[in-house]
Amino acid sequence: MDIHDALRSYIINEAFKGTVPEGFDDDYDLIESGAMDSLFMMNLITYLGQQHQVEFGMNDMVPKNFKSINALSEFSRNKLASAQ
Amino acid sequence: MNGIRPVRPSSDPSNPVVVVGAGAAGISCALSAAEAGARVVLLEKSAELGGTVSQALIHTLGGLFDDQGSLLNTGLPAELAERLGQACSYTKQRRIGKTWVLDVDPAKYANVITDWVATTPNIDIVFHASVTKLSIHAGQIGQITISSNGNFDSVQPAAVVDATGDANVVRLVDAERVANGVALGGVILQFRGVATDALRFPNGVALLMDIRKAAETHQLPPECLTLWLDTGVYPDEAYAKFNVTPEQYDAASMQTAAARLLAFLQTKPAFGQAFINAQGRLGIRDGGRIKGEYCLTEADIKSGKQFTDRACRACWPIEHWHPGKGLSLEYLPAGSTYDIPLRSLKVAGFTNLWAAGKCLSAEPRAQASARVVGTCWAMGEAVGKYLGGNLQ
Ligand SMILES: Cc1cc2nc3c(=O)[nH]c(=O)nc-3n(C[C@H](O)[C@H](O)[C@H](O)COP(=O)(O)OP(=O)(O)OC[C@H]3O[C@@H](n4cnc5c(N)ncnc54)[C@H](O)[C@@H]3O)c2cc1C
Repeated sequence: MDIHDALRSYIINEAFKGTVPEGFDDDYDLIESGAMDSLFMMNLITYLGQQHQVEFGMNDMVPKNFKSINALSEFSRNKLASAQ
Repeated sequence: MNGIRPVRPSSDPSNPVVVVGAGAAGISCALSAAEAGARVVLLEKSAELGGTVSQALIHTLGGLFDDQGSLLNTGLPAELAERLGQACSYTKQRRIGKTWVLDVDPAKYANVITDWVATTPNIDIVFHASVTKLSIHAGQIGQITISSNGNFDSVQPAAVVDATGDANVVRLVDAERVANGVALGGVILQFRGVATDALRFPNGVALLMDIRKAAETHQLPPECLTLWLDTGVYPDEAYAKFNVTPEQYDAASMQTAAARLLAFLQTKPAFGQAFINAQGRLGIRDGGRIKGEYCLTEADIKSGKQFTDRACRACWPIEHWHPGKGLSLEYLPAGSTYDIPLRSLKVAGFTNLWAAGKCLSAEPRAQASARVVGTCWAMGEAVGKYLGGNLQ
């Protein structure tokens, strides 16, 4: 599965327990909606590291990288590309 | 202490409501029963009021607000929020994930409730107190024996409310009527001297990841593997929470872990001037729940169940600290609230034995939502009001 689809399904299952709110799409603001709380963020970082080898550095921990599914997958793709 | 009188059981003809435990639920139960006209005897095993909030340094009061940030219950929980706001200008309502909390200074909280109780008539407080014996006849608690500082006294209660957090009174009556607790406990450190915004989201997560890596590589002790960080109420304040299995708690190794954590944090620019201002005592999340006339279930809280004998409303997520798996957080559906029925605060098989607070009758995952401080206040108020009203 492509990293974008994997992230999408992880977020829908883990943060929304499979039922997404109205208006949900890949630009849905995860921070503003409260879905991206500290605990979920920690779990997500662990998931991306273990399952997809996406490693977050200290400078990567900024809201813009966690804002939406699109932002997260763009960040992850860039990370993977620069690691190669 | 000003306004706090010794217990005088024989000088007053009316039988008192005896509230055991002066934590969130016990204080609010005592206040509401007294306001409803009952005479109250409040027994506390330690030398201070406040329970887990003051003893374990709880600084984010949950259960006061719904997911829109509006007050869930009027009455004493709302008055508490107001009094805390008046006592300290740093008290503030804050959104964490999909929930709302009230950020407070636990020391200010202790002052506020101590003044509040002292200025409420009809509450006699006994510190260093415990119930040593209860006589039971036909499902009714009769005479109870209280010990305090080596002195014994006896009281004929109209009703007894177990607000010990751990169902200690009910355990004494009949251990079979208590379900054992199943959750991780915690020890909280309060730091001051921290740079403003050091832990502002998502900076705190970055630091947490760093701490975990250091623990994995043994730079920090294993206690730091599951540590949690949070901002405080003052701009230079931060908190660290250690997860602890209560049965394995060792104060000396916690002390060492705290010192090593501080040394590690002081290497970070934002924590260069930080120091430990206070260390909380071991906090117990689930020390046992009573078996009540009704047991609140996980299904009830997820379906937003309403009861005709509603004690209060609640909506905190299921914040379960599983002894093996650690923390999981499951939010209830958006906008949903559930009721806690009075029957889950009444011990099954007894006419005058009640409970309030985190030892309510509930499944472990239901208690993991219902135990937050604001909800404990609301439960205590409901029981006190009911008893105060019915004794008149
Ligand atoms: C580590 C930790 C973190 C938490 N974090 C939060 C949070 O961020 N937000 C939140 O809202 N909630 C939090 N909670 C939960 C919340 O603090 C408690 O569930 C709540 O304060 C319990 O209130 P209570 O009145 O039921 O019991 P307590 O506050 O525990 O009060 C019980 C009182 O009874 C006394 N007592 C016990 N036995 C006896 C006896 N035999 N005789 C006389 N007195 C007795 C005790 O000394 C104590 O004063 C946390 C809990 C823990 C442990």
